[in-house]
Amino acid sequence: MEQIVEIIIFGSIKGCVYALIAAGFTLIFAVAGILNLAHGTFYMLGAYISLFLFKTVGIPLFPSIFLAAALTGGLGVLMDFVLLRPMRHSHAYVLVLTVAVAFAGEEIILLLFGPRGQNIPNLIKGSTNILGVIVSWHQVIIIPITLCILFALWLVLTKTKYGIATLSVSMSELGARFVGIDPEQIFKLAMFVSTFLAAVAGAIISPILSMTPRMWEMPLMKAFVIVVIGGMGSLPGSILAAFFLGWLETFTGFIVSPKLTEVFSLAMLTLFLVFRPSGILGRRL
Amino acid sequence: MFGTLFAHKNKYTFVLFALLFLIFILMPLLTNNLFLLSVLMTAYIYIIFAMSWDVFSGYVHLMNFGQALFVGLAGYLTAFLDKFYGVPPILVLLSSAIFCGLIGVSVGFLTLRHRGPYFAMITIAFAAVAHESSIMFSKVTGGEEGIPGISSLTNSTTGDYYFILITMAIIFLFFLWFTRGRYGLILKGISQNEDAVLASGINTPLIKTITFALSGALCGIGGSLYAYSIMQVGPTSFSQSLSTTILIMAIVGGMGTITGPFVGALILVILNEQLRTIGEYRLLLYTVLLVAIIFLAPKGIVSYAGPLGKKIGLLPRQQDELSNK
Repeated sequence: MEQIVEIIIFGSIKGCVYALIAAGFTLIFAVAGILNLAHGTFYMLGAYISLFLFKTVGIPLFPSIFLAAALTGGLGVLMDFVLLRPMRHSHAYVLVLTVAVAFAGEEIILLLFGPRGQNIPNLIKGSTNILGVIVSWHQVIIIPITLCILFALWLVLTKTKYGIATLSVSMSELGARFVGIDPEQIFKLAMFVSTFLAAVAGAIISPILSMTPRMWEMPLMKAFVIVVIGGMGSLPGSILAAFFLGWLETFTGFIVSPKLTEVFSLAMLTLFLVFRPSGILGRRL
Repeated sequence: MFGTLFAHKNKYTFVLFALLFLIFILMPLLTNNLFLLSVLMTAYIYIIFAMSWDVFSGYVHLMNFGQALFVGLAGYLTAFLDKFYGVPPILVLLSSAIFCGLIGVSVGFLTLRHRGPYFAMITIAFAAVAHESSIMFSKVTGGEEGIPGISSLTNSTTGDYYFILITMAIIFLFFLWFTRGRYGLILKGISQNEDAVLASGINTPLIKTITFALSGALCGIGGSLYAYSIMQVGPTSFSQSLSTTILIMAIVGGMGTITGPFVGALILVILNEQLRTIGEYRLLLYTVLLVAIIFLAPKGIVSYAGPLGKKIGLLPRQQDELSNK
């Protein structure tokens, strides 16, 4: 019984972080057709910049996370503007350039912060007991933070002028041009939101998982698995798949073997890519 | 005879590469510097990797981000065959080629039906699965440490050097023959407009699968040589950074040319050894170089200064930029 509660709680926490990562990854793919292999790098930047703001500059933790996320969003827009804009029509170039950014990011972080693992402190100290399972408060508040952010994303996308324009660009860029929407602006907005979400995810997970210059690989692979299972370009699908994967991984970790979780999720990815590349909620290819 | 293999019967390229190979052949006679020879051997192995990447991704423009899959598979196969069964190198190379070719056929068969970025994602996924598994199943693969103690190719460094050089030269000529003929044209056509090629009665999925398998098989030979030359194999030979290094070498040299990846890999490996002091940050240097090349000379080093590149004919006919894909 206790184990089931444990799996549900820790799976949900994992799922929340995955949802933040995957929502951004799928958003920029749906809107601009950019498969951003540097998505994990922005996750890493979110963690490192908030560490820098908190430790060196001395801003309180909570605002520094969001400031770091906004700065990372700016960097994302900059990358899109400088590197990707001239080559956006070609998948091949976008993939090559973003993978280049990912590796360059790793080396730059290594140069600036060193290879040692680092942590930012918990947002709230102490721990609590939920139905007999001890969970730290920090892990608990990841859930409301994520739900608030995802709700805000949903509000922005469905209720505001910019959100509706974003959805229309994701449906048809040409059609959006016809009704007077500038896709370039929307791409910038989508890139900002996408990298913002990744950075928040990186910052709120880094008290639990220590940050190293190689931390960008994990979220990238997870984002891959999630968007493929959920359906490329489908935002609800990704969020569903994120929680599904979170629970599944925690289940495997608790019941089978913690070593198997990685191989398991990669195997899922491969199976989906080979046999149902459109995912559970995506359009069929 | 070989002259025609280079771009449009251009003698200059033939002469250029003949000179280059002459220098390669004479190198052990000119110098006793073993370090230089080992750098060149590494360069030849990377040339094999980059060319075999290029024959598929460079021509078809479906990005393969997991070329290290073949390197690693061939490496582990080499370790098993050599350590546990004592198979001679030639047979090991052959079996690596066949094994990686079969893996290439199966991966290609499963995935090449899908267009767009799916292929790139699948190649990343397969390499990552292999990387994780090689660490996971440590009883068989030795875990993080890998399998050390693979015997050397021949008894002397000079012997190794010529063995690798000759293998590389054969693969180079084979790729030139393959891409400068009918197949090269079909592959270029697929990269431009697959439907049009399909409509002219060519079974493009078959051609793509065959080419992918070929790319895997010859990369497998390179992977075996790599394992022999460093005398061990570990999970790093599956790593994403190796795949990316191969890809950068090919793109910096010039995609879809075969001669380009040759030049690119040679230059980058030698550059890497010269800059050994910053070894840890070599990928940063590579990526900066890559971005610079993509923006300044999207066709790669071999196209550098357009007219010169065209004149000496490093590029095959119908050279073009990456187009919509």
